[in-house]
Amino acid sequence: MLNLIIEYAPAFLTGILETLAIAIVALIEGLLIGISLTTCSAYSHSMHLIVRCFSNVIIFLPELFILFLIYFAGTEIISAFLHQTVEINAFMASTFTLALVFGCYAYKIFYSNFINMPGGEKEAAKILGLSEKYIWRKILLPSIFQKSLPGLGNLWLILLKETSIVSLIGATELLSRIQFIIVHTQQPFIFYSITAILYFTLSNLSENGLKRLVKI
Amino acid sequence: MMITLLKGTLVTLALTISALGLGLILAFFITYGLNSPNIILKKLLYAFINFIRGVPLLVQFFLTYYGLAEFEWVRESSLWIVLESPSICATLILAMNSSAYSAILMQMIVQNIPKGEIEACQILHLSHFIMMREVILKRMLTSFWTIYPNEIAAILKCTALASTITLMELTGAARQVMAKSYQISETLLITAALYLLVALILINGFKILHCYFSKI
Repeated sequence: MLNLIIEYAPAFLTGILETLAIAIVALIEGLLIGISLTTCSAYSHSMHLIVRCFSNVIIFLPELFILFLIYFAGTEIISAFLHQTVEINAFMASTFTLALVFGCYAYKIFYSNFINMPGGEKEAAKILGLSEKYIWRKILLPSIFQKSLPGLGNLWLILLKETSIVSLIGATELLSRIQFIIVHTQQPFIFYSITAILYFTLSNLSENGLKRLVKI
Repeated sequence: MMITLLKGTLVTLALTISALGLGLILAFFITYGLNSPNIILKKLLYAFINFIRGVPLLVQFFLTYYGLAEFEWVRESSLWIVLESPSICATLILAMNSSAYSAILMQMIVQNIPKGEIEACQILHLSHFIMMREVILKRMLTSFWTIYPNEIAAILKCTALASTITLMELTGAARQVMAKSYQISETLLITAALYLLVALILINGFKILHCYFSKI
């Protein structure tokens, strides 16, 4: 038993690194999506309605289903538009799916903090004679981001767990590596338990890290 | 095509409702246990909640459905009746997830009940049972039901993963239809509409029931 685990340890490590890579790429894309949705929604009332509908639709659909939608239907629709076959690779589809879901939840957090922003800060900055651009860049945006940090931390924990579904469309990460190993060894229980432990450690480590980050 | 999808919708609906109902009952017991003076029980329950929170749902499904089937003694025991059928297995796992997340919410509400109320009950010489029923449970439920729709949506999204253990719910049905008819975009769009419909029915149904019962 122990021999097997040691033998396949490199595969676990690459799996963890791949999972983290997918999660981090999705985090960056997701933050960009969240910020752009918030900007659109702050722009005008009609844009706000459209963005709200869009984010609610995404939030009510299962992640696995969105993954299929982007991976299968996305290929078909883009191919039809460009009049040639385009292949979306599994890594792109999976990071974009995770990012889309992350972005819609992040939009909700950003927007609620944006609406509930204390008016005093802005007025004080205006009285001091600071320019509009400077106020946004140095005072308002940092305060919105800081207030959103605990919520974003929770989203990161969810994102880390959701990366496991991308194995279903053939992207390689921890779970799909483990499934390869199981096909070889025919011992599903022990290897799925190891996967559970690895994911558990990953999310616990990042939870502790996030707690420290929020305290600063 | 439509018939397969509609059957899938019914399976999703049934799975969500049964998992939510079972999860709610379990959540009450877990919350009761978390507030009991027994330290070992408390630690066990927190370990259970942390396990559910830290491990991806997909890994939980694989671990119980494929992992446990590896052992000869599990297949011969009476437990096999539960593990053999994907629908019962999926319902149980989803119910456990729902119960863990609901229990966290309930525990947070219970901890925020002002101490004075409990002291007042003790001064009035109310029995433990009456205090639990009339003060703590009532207070907890009024706050809990307002956040419960989020839990409904979360569990509805989780049911999509049941398709990985051969249960033909909505996502599974969509995959089947796609493989047969090659009408990928149409199938996925119809499925998305069905998911939104199920979410609307469940959440609004819950709200109507809640309104009706809170008036009595």
